[in-house]
Formats: sequence, C-alpha cells, structure tokens
Amino acid sequence: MKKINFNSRSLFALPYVLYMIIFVVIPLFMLLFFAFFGDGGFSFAEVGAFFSDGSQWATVGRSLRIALVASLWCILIAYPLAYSIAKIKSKTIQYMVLMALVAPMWINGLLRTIALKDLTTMLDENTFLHLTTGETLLTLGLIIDYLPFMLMPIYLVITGISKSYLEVSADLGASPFITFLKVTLPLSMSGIISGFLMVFTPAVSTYYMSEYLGDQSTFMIGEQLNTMFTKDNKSGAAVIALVLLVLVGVSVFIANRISRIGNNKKGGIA
Amino acid sequence: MGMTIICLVMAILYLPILFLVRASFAEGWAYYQQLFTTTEYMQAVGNTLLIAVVASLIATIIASMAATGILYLGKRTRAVTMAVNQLPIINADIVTSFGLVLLFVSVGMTNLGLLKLLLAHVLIALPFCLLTILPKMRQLDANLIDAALDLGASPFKAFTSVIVPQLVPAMIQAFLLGFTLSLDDFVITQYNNSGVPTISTVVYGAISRRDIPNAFKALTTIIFLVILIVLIVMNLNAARVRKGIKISRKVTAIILAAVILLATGGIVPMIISHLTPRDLVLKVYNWEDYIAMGQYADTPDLLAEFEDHYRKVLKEQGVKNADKFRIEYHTFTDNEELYSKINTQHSDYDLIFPSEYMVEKMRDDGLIQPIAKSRIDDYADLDSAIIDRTNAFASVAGNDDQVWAIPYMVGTVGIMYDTKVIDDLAETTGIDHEEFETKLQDYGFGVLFGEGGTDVFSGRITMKKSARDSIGIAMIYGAQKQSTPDDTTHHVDDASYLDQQDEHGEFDNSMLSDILNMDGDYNIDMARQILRDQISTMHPVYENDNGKKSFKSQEGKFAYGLYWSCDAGLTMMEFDEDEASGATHFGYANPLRYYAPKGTNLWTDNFAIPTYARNLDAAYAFINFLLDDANAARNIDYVGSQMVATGDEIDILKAEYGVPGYDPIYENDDEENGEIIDVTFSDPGAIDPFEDYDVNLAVTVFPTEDNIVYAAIMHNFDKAKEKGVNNLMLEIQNKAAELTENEGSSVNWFSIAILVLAGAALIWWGTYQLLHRRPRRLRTTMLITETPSQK
Repeated sequence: MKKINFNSRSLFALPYVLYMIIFVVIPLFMLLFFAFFGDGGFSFAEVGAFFSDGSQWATVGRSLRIALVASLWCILIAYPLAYSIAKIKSKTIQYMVLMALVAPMWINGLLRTIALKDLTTMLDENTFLHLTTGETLLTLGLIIDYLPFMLMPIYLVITGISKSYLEVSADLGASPFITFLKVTLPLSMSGIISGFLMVFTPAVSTYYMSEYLGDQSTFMIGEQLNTMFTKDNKSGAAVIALVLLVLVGVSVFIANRISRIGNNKKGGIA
Repeated sequence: MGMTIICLVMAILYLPILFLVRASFAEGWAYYQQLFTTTEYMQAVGNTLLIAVVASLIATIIASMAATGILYLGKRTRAVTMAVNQLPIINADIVTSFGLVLLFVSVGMTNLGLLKLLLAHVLIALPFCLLTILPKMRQLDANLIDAALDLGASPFKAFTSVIVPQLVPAMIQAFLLGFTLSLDDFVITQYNNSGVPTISTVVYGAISRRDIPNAFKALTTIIFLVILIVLIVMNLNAARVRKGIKISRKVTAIILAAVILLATGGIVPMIISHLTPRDLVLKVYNWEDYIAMGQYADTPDLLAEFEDHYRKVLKEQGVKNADKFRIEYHTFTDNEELYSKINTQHSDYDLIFPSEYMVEKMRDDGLIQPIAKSRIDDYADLDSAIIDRTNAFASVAGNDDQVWAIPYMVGTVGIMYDTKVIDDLAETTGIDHEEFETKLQDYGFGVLFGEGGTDVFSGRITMKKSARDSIGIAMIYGAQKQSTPDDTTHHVDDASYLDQQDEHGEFDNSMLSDILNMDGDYNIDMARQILRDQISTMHPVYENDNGKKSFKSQEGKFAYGLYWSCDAGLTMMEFDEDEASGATHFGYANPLRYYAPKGTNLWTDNFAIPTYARNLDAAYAFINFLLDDANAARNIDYVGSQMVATGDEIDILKAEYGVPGYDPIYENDDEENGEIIDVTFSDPGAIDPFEDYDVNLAVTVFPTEDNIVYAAIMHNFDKAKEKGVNNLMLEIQNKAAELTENEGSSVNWFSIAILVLAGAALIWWGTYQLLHRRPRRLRTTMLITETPSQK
C-alpha cells in the first residue's frame, strides 16, 4: 500500500479508458461490421451500390464544397474576432465576450436553425434581401452555428503566444503588421487548423441544417445517412458513415500536413 | 476596429434569438403560461437540463480522474489514449450517434430511456472535459500526490483531497463546456432517444407542420435572460475583484445552484409523473398536430376536456385520487418512428395512431392487440363506406367481434394547385386555371409528369420525399400510360385499372391495389423510369415530409404539387385563418384548390392499442370520446380531415362546410347570422369539385364517395421491397440535386469569393514556406521549446 507503483496510479484512468473503448472504439467496429455483414453474410452489395452511382459522387463533392466554404468563412470571421478579443485588456471582459459568443449554444441548435430560417423568411418578405435561396442560407446557418468551435481554439492559441516574441519582433525592427504576419499568424496556425477540423466535420455531415435551410440542390451526404437510418437501412447507413469517416480522416491528414509545412512541430489535432 | 468586429459578430449570432424573443410576446404572456402549464414541455425542459447537468458532471469527474491517471501511463499508451480522445471530437456527430445506436441495438439495450441519453451525452462532453482539465493537471506538482500517498492516504483520498481542490477551476470550466455542448446537441439526442421528451425532440416533432412551438419561443427568451444575468454577474464580480474582494467561487456556486434549481424545476413534474399510479395515466402517441388541443384561441382543447370527463367517470366508479388522472401525450413524425418505439423499446403507450400499412406490420409482429367492437359505443353507426374499405387491414381473421384498428382520420392523395399562380403564368404557358382543371380531370396524376402539354409548368411543381407516396403515384401514372400505349396522350378515363368489375358489376379495385403496392405484374422499374424522366422534364421540387406549408410559405412559387388531402385542407384553412386574422393581406380570394383524381390512394390513420398498453379502460374511453359526434366535429374542424364518426353534429359540420347534399337549416331561418341547427339531405347529383372554393374545400376535407370507392389502400411491404422503394427515392434525390445544382443559374458569390481568397492565401503561404524553409524551421523550433504548455 505504501509504495504504489505506476500502474495502480494510472488506474485512475480506468473508468475513462473503459468508457472510451465501449462507446467510441467498439461502435466504430460496429460500423465496419454492418457495412459488410449487415444483411447477413459478407457482401459488397451496399458498398458497391454506393460507388457505382455517379449522382452519389456529386453529392459527396457538394457536401465537401459546402463544408469547405463554411469553414473558410468561419476562419475569416473567427480569426479577427479572436484576435480582437485577445487584445482586450481586462481578462474578465475577455471571458465575458467569449461567454456571450458561446452562450447562444444553450439554446438548442435545432431551435436556432429554425429561428434563422424564420428570420430570413421574414427579411425576404420585407426587405431587399434574398437569403432563402438554398445554399447561401445553408452556408450562413453553418457559419453562425459553428463559429464558436472555430473561435475557441484560435483564441486559446493567440492568448498562449508569449508577449516576449512580439516584443522581440518589435525590437528587431518589425512593424506590427510584419510581426503579425511572421510571428502571430504562424504560431496560431495550429489553432486555425483544429478550428477548421472542428467546423468542417460537423458541416460536411450535417443533415438537419441542409434539410431546413437548404433546398433540393443542397442534398448532402448526412441527409442521405439520416434517411437510410430512419428507414431502418442499417447496412446502407453504415456504408455512408464509413465514407464520412474516410472523408474526415483524409481532411485530418491534409490539415496536419499543412500545419507541418508551416510549423516544424506536430500541429493540429490527432 | 476590434470592438466593431466583436459587436458585428455578436449581432449576427443574436439576431435569430432576438427574433424569437420578440415573437415570444406576440400574444402577451400566453406563450409563457403555455410553457409552464404544458406537461410535455416542462418534462422536455426538465429532461434536457437534467441530462445536461448530470452528464457533464459525470464527464467532469471521469475526466479529472483520467487526467490524473493518464500522466502515469506509458508514453505509447498515452499517445493512443489521446488519439482515441480526439475521435469523438473530430468524428461527425451523426457517425458517432449512428455507431452508438448500432452498439445499443446489438447488445439489446434499447429500452434504457433516460439512462441511454445520459450515457450518450457523457460521450459528448467527456473528450472536451479531458482536454480542458489535462493542461491544468500537467501544471500540478506531481510530488504532491506522491507525498499524500506516502503519508498513507488511499489513492481515492489522495485524489479527493489533494488533486480535486487544485483542479476546481478547470473542473468548473469543463463542466460548463460539457453543459453547453449537451444543451446544444440535437443529433445524438435524436438518434439515441427512446421516448424521453427533450427540447430537441419536441422541437423536431413540432416543426413537421408548423414553426417552433410558441412555448419554446418563451423558453428562448428565458434562456436569453439567463445568459444576460450570467454576464451581469460576471461583470459585477469583476468589479469586486478589482476592489480586492474575491468571491468568484461563491458566484460560480450561485450560478451553478441556479442552473440546478432550474433543472429540478423541470424534474418535479417528471417525478410526479412517475409516481402517479399507471391507471391514472393515459399514454397517447399521435402524429404531431393531429388533434385539436387549443392551438388557436378558438380551438377546443380535447385533451383537457377528456381529462375532466374521465376524472368524473373514475370518481363515479369510486377510484381513489380520480382527480389526478391525466393524459401523457407524445407525438411522432412518421410511422417508422412509431414502429421503433413500440417494437424495440416496448414503450407502454395505451393508444397509438399508425397508418394502414403500419397496422398490418404491427399486427404481423404482434405489437397491437385487437379492439373489441362491443366496447366501442355504436360501432355499427360508424361511417360504413370507410369501415368497409378499411376491413382490408383491420378485420381480425375468424372473429367478427374484434378489429385490429379503427380509422381515426381518412383522406386521399391528390394534387394541390394555386389558381393564382397558374393564371399569372397563363401568358407564357397558355393554360389558365380553368383549362388546367380540365387537364386535371383528363389526365389525373399525369399533369405531374407533363401529360397533355402540362410540361410548360416545369420547375413549378412539387413532389413528396415520402417514398411510398411519390413512387405509388408514379406507378399509377405508369399503368395509366400502359393502358393506351399507342397514343401520345393518356387519359385517366381510359386507364384499364378503372375498368375492372367484380361479379356484381361493381368497381373492383384489386388491379389498382396491385399497381399501388407493386404486386403481380407491376414492379418498381416502371416507377424508376417515370420518376427519372420527370426529373429532367418537369424539374419537380421534392418536398420534405415536413414541407407541408410550401404553398403558403413559398406563396407564388408553385403551380401545383402532390399533396395529402389532410395537408391540403389544413393549408387552405390556414390561408383563410391568416386572412381573417389580418396577419397577412393577400388582397385576393383564397387561390388554393385540391383535386383527387379518380383512382388514387386512400389513406387512413387509425386508433390501435399496443400489446404493451397498460390502461385499456382509459384507451377505450378516449376512443369513444373522440368518436362522439360533437367532439369529432370540433376535431375535424381543426385537423381538416374526415373521421368515421357520424351523427347530427357531423352532419351540421358538413352543412357548414357546404358539402353538396347537406342542406343547412338555419336558426330562425336567418342565413346571415343564425347558426345551423339542422340538416336536410338532398341528392347532390354529380359533384363538381371545381365549382368554387367552398365546394372544393368541402370535398377536400370530406372525400366524395367516388374518391373512396375508386381508390386503393397501401399494404405493408416486405423488407426487400421497402428497401427498394427507399433506395429509389434516394437515387432520385441525388439525381435531382445534381441536376438542379448544374442548372443553378444564380452565381453563389458567397462560395466563389471565399474559395478564391483561400486559394490565393494557400498558394502564397505555400510558396513562402518553400522559399524560406530552412531558417523558419530553426526559428520555430527554438520558439516552440519555450512554450509553457510543453512539459
């Protein structure tokens, strides 16, 4: 009892590890199983059906494009936002602003999505705006809903940058703009990339947003998974889920490569 | 500059919320009252908060323990653990949810209710909690733990008295993060929910027909207020800190206490509901918005009325606590949702409302029990025209005293059209609404497929995403085309399926039924061809099952579309309601009409009693209550669909609607102001549904005899056939999306701008990096080694 070895101390992690194995790792294998054995017996039927339909690939491409556009807009908005917040002198006010930006999430996502749709319908009827045109509204919805996921990592990285680097840069004669470009931005790359992944994945797989904010032309892969799921086509849904997994895996890989080019350190998430 | 950005973003984020806040006061405090008095809503709020608080608490505890343990793991194990931790964060939530569903289904843990949601929500919070706590843990002095252990503390004691106190700020952060994510979540809740009402599920159920439930607008306002209060408290607190008084923990405690108090506020009704003896609760599971329950100021609340009525009945029987009797009323959005609740979760609803084919499926799977005719008041008096048709699925083999189901609402599938849009387009199409009505009569569903020159309406028609309906109608049209293969146009009257007669010389619908149900010679390939052709020629918009309002909300866009009669009736009446209440001024008479072609689908939604029902007496009493003619009449008037109830009140209602053949007798013979007190019957002759709006609405709500006779009923599909239909529908949707996307003429500057910008930035960045590779490496390495987070 007195001399406890390393192993028993790491036992603290046991509930966590067990939980993750049961609820994260095993379900992933379930997906694999259902994709190939769903209809009893090993078969490529579902996988084959997916890969043979050209329109299906158009849907994958469309989902990627919409998610990419939304994520890039999120970066474009969240970066200056996070930067401005980090520049506020009082820490408390920083937290307050962050809190205020994240707090809308206390109102359920679906509720906010429909509120946005009602709002834009109202604006369309009464102003010159034309937002209820499928993809534009969908992109707007994705940006509004996922902005906090982009904001937080960027903010954390920016506030983590030691002031001394900025001072060193200034001392060496760099203008604030050059300092930003050569010191702050490269150092916040890892935040941008984790933020990008945090926005891109839910966006590429969204179903209720594209259902309520989009139109016929924004049919996305998440909607397809959801339809198959609700119609109890588990093996079909499992194939789509695997495709999504691969898409996400590839984007993580690419994101990590990008962050490695810029930064010799292992950046990003995973 | 900085402030401008912050304010701007804040404004955009809060605009939809403020919009709801404003809307919540549309009727004074009524919505707030509704929120606090409706059990379903309070339960939903309570459950949501309970799940959020408990799940994030559990996640915080597990994560703090894990953070302690992980530091002592081997390097490789730690790396693997951290990688696994990223999986749920990075993985699409829909994939995570679906994986969880597969897990729960595979181990047969489907009926876990709240516990399952808790487990799932822990998963939402846990990885984020760990990421919040771990860095703080790293900053702790590891020697402290060793010291505690050396001094003889048990590992648990060491954890609670050494680690936890130092981690409190990080734990609070983790808890708040988990709480936020849990409240925001929709997908995981939706996928893993087995009959626990939460805010997500109630909203999801409600939007199928209408917008956000009014009560939830009130809820949004309340949450908004909470946010404001939290911010103000933070601000006050900061002011005090500046003065040197540290009470931040106290304030956090107060906020936490407030949240928990709110949570328990919702839990109380839930506990009460669990404590009520089962025979004092009637659990009803119905389609959303499918009963009059006080939706408008002048809509009766049949649920409350039944509660009053049944309390009296119970009192007369001498039941204890009869006053506590209440209805637990939940809603679903499609038959499959209903099926899975009963089949996999064995939910103990006492009364459900499946459609005809679902009655067959549940009957075959032993999920419903027969209804005794003798316990239905005046079963013999129910509308025999409809009962005769529904015997196809409702009769119990070899037992005349029982039925599997009794029709609740009945209607047809047909075409809804907007006479104003058609007339406005007449200049280019050359078809005004009268001409269109002739075409409707001539070609039936053919107008959806461009028959008879109607392809001029390309891009202005709607179909349903609901697979059985769109494909069934395509099958019927396919058969109509086949009947006269050599002609260029195909009239409905020439359709061979309308030509069938039985030995009594009456219409025999078996062929129509084969077509609709893809039996015999008719298979899905016919529908595939027709629907694919339709996409490229007619450019239909496939509506969500919940896009039932498009003729009103997208006013002026669509000329006509595939519709259920119940939705048509509801939409037409809503138009009238809006016009009457002055909410909108269209400045023209109601342009909406509905027409069910000869030879269509007759649908019914039915009363059925599940095998797992636990309060049969109340279920029967409720069926009788709803079939009572006075109650049925008021219900029909709201829902806009025919019921099987008969009686004086129904006749009067029909006369009010102006159903041909029901001639009203007014009080004091005063047609202007007098109420209809009685009805005389006359022979309506041939009914012209196009005569005027009133007749059209009347025959939409109350299908004509022809509608009911010349129609087929859907049967349950086996697994392979069902999969075939659903996959075809997805194929069509993919195709339609591809087509509309390619044809989309409006340039999406939103996308192009950002893509060009991002591309330029990436190229610039890449080139820069390649050119300056070596020196940068050196420098960043140098900088990184100094960053404080590295241990």
